[in-house]
Amino acid sequence: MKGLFRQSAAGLGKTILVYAVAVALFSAMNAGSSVLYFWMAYALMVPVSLMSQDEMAGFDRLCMMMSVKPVAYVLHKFLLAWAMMGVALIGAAVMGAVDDRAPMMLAVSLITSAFALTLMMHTGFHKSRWVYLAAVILQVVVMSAVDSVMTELGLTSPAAMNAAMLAVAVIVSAAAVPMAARLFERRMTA
Amino acid sequence: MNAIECKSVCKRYGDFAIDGLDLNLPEGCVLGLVGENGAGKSTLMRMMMGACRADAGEIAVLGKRMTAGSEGCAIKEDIGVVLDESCLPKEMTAAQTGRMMEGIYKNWDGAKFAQLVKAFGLPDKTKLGQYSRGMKMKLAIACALSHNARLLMLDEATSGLDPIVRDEILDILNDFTREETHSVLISSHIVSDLEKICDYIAFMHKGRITLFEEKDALAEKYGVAAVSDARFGAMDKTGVLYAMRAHGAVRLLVLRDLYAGEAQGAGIEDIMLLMTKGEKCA
Repeated sequence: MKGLFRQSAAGLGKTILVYAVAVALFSAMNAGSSVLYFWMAYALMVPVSLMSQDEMAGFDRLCMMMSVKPVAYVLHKFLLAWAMMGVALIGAAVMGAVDDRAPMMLAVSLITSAFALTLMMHTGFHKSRWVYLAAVILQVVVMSAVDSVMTELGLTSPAAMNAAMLAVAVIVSAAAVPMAARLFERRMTA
Repeated sequence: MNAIECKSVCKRYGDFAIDGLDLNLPEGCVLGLVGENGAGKSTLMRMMMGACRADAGEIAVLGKRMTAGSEGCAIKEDIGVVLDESCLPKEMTAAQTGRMMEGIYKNWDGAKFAQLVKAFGLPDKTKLGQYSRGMKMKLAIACALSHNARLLMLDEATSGLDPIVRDEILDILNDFTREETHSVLISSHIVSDLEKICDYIAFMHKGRITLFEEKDALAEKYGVAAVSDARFGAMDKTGVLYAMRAHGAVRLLVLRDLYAGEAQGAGIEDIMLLMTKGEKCA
């Protein structure tokens, strides 16, 4: 998997730049927790862009002919997504946009990313670009809806609920990896 | 030992099928796989590379059963793969490619890779997007040769390259096969390339191997002859395998031992053309 991370690092430059510009612009125009959910939702852009680059070059096809296990290929894309969510949290924290709703946002982000990446591993990026867009929109909609409801009702997220939601999200994400690997392998070796 | 053994391999995609295919590549040899577009060469090679599941049959590579996906990963350490496209992301440089491969192959030889990149005249800090097709192919070959592979598989790797680059690539393959345990499977439409380096030729047509011969025996065993249409109708067709009408004459692919008339030694291109477009006579 070390090799795959090195390959991703080489193709990451432009993607990270676009991500940074997008979140910087959005952050300048907004404040509070909406900044965090934009950062979070957009984090999926990085592994998805790399998937698209791989498909265009045929690198995913080449991986199946080299000694790269399908699960390693899939896991490294998931790890990138999770790492980007970590970056989003840190970035938003630096901007003071992290409050007690952050765990809920992280949970929503983890779950939608797990579904989106699994589906994209199954069909390939170019057949399911809409999945990525749908995932981003879904994340923003769900996060902002929950956020507004909680604000209107004057609720805060209790620590126990946050922990439960995060636990579910982590389980869903972890379970998605072997499932996505199986679907990816089936597509690539068909 | 055979470097590759295919037994009764089947694969179906809609109307196209590879049906009960048998093929062996003896260790230490170069096998050229020829056939028209859509004959099934790439599908067969993908199955041999463990990148595609066979519906039935068995494929053994370097003495081990090759299966698609995770299970075949260990054997792939010993196989160098070069495809018709380099398949490496254009944002990478040769140096980054080397570092990436180091993380993928256990037996990666960084010094050998650097030496090959230098020998091929490839700039190691230029992005692959700026490489010519020939340079990309050379880089892919450098990768394939830098992890101590015992078997090289090249799928249309020389197509679209100019004769000079192709000649350089053939020299590289010749060097590789100096080691007795090293074998090469190469598919190409450029039959002149195969004539230069192959020990064996396999001709694939509509998902079947219709001919498998030692290259040097081809011209001795098979011949081409041309007769008039009228003479063809009346002649004894013993030894005539295929006949193709063109420009008022009939071109024949014949078995030289059996054919009574005069025939010249057949080249791979003659055989490919007559077997694909000709009518079967015997």
